[in-house]
Amino acid sequence: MRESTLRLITYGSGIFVLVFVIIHLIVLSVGA
Amino acid sequence: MGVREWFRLKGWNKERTLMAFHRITGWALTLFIVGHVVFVHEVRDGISIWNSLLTVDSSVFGKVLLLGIMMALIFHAINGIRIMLIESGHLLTKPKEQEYPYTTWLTSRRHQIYVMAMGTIGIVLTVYAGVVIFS
Repeated sequence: MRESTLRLITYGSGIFVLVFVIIHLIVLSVGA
Repeated sequence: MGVREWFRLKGWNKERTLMAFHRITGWALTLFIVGHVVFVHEVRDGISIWNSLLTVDSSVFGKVLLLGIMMALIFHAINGIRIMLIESGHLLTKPKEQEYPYTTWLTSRRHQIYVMAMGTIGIVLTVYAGVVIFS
């Protein structure tokens, strides 16, 4: 696998997790 | 370089220190996510088990732990974006012939501003998380 592909997967999954966590925190915020 | 090297921060530059914290918070968040999924899964075992777990969650220890996780999350997210911006060349200086005194992208104005903004946004978000968790 090319390094650039691996990097794309790493950053892509990072952004996906970040967006997921933000939505998760907004929808299921503490005390809500 | 062994794992012990991660914690030897003396004499390190800013980039290496941030990278060490990035690794540490990454592992902490991985452990939290596994624990979090197991925790939520316990709802299948009945309301008494669920409520006993919620007691831990609403204790001072639980809240402090949650704030720690939030701090790790905020740092990891903002620093992750910094790494992506460096890799994509947005936080780097334009290539030029080296002249004394030598400067690196690490001490460039653009990167310094991002790190300062990163600290400020991180503190604001941590305070907000603290208010939400403890109120």
